[in-house]
Amino acid sequence: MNRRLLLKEAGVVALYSTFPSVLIEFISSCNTKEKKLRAGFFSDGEFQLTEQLADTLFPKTATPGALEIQLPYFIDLVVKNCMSNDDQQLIKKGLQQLNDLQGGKFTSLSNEEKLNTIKMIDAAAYKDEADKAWFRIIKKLALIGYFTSQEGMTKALNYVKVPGDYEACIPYKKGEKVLAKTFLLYW
Amino acid sequence: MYDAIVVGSGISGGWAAKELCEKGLKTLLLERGRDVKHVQDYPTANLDPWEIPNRNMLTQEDLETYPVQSKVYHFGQDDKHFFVKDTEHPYEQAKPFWWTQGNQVGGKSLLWSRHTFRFSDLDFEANMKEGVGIDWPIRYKDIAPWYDYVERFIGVSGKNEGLPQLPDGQFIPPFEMNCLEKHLKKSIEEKFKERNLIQSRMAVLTQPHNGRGKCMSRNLCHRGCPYGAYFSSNSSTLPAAYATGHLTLRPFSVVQSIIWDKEKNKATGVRVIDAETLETFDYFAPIIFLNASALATTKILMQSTSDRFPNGFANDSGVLGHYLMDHYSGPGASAGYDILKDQYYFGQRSTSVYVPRFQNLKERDKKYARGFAYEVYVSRGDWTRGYHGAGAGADWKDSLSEPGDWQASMFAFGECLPDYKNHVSLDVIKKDKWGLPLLCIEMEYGENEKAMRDDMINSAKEMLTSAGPTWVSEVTDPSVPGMTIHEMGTARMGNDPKTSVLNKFNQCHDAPNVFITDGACMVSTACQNPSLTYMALTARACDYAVTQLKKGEIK
Repeated sequence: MNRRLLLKEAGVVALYSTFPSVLIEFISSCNTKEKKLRAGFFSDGEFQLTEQLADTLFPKTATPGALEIQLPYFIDLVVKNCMSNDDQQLIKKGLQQLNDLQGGKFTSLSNEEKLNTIKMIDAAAYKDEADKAWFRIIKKLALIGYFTSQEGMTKALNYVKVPGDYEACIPYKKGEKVLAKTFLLYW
Repeated sequence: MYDAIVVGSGISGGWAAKELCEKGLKTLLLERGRDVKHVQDYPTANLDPWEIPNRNMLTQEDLETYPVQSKVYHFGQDDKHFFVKDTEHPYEQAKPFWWTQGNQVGGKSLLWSRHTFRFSDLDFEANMKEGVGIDWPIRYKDIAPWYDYVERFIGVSGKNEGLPQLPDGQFIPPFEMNCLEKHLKKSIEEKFKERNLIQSRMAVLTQPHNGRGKCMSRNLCHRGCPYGAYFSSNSSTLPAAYATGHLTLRPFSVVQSIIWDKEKNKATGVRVIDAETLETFDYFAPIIFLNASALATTKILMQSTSDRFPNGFANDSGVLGHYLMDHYSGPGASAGYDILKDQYYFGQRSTSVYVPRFQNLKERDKKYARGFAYEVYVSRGDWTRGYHGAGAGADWKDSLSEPGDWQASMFAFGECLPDYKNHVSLDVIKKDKWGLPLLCIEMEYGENEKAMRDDMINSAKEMLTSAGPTWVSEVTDPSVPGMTIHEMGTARMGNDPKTSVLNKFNQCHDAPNVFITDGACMVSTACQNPSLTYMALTARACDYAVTQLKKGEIK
């Protein structure tokens, strides 16, 4: 059911965004899957590492993978728009670290090797190793980017724009998707 | 010439406008911000998450423009247009105080957490019994009919529980508890005498009410509700005021001062600076209601000096600006539960469940006076658990598509005692862009508030533990004054004009045609969310004011 129909059913006049056209451009361009979007913060090398990192975290499964939903672009965009200068530098250094870890060959590793490398960094990051702090930041951005994207929300989660009546206790069967929260808080 | 002027269109000002208009008074409603029309001025209300800039994350520029406002838990790209830019609305923090300001028609009624609890005589009598501050000039019986009146209009979902410390009311059906909430309720009420877990009473509609639609379970209240399912001035009181034909709204009206007429020996109106053109206008009326929000109202009084009131309007007592309070909130605990895995819910309820105050009810049994209550939030985990632990790759990704364990979080809201030292004043040197002095705020929590903190954490832990969790963690962040956005006091009510600004009908002791019914009037804070009490006091004061006007007691 499309959005307009839902709103009509709910008896509500549709409201339209007054947000800048640059965003609209982004949304519409997300649908053109062939074109690789860049926000311009990362260098070519950094962007390539970000692509590999994002694709390793979120490979294509029954639900879309990072590259299909332009997740590297999102990370590039919010690192540029939302991160402090310190965090930006931390992430740049972190990507350099990722590159150096495999003697500059991370991007040419097999998928399995990439996953093992990422898991190693991930485990260290969650043991609070100081030089892996960057990874928790970029992983959080990747999670946000994936699960708040149109594809992520509608295919990997159960996104219901207007639920209507609240049902407090209903049976749950293993495998059913989690409700997609729309109150966007990232604590 | 108007019959009444109301300053401020937030949760109490909207009520003043409605009541005065419905009683036939031609009412001028002044609002310092822009107009916000119900539904049509909620630009983000129906946006999908991926349509929100930066998916609602703040930019560095946002943090620089809104250093204080951005501390509000739901401040984001989707609602920042309902907050002031701190760069344009500066104030001085003699000590850290986060002053949340929503300067637009509707004020913070667009943004509030919608909890609507009554105060009881436990609260109204506490100052008198303990010799703290001054006594409230009213008791529960004085305000109870007005609580009824307000609840019937705004629509409060909730349930009567027969708890003396949290009086029952006029409720529409509550939102049902989810399975873990029911489990928690059972555990807590079995294991802890005098503790209850109840549905929060909230101004969120479970059924259509007074022409407004019921909640659609989106949990996007803070963007403005297109169904009018939560109470705000915009959705409820202002449309009622407009319907009388007696309301004139003037947005962009920064009130500079109350006009004191020396000859007539009374307040005759207000002086307004147009926020956009900086032109000055005078408006006159026999009755003036100040509802600019606790601190903004007191600031107006302080700016209104004259030969009669050299130390601020209606300040013969000298207490104007003093006894600033805000609930001490935040400490508590969270827990996870590896049970009820075959149970879920549908929709996103915007309401919490609640543990009413259970300390010092019959006699003082704690090292601190008064007490606290908890808002409790329960849900199944979602993908955000992904950044709280290790994981990567296909299995991890797919696992995040399924709900996680149940989680419950309890956050305490504690009473704050009145203290003369906690006060606001005007900075005589620094001015804002309207040429008005900046407000300087100086507040810190006292020993009694701080003494509750450990108990807030430990009581939450023991209640969550009673329900058999797999993990429990403490929430220890200390409260910062202003953070709870329940700022109260600075122009308090009281029986004695020597120690209070307002009488028992919220009427200035020193200026009988000026009424103050926002948070400034509060004598103590209880631990309940205060908005319902502001609304009830406003309706009561309007009734009194118009009766006095008709009798010729107010001219």
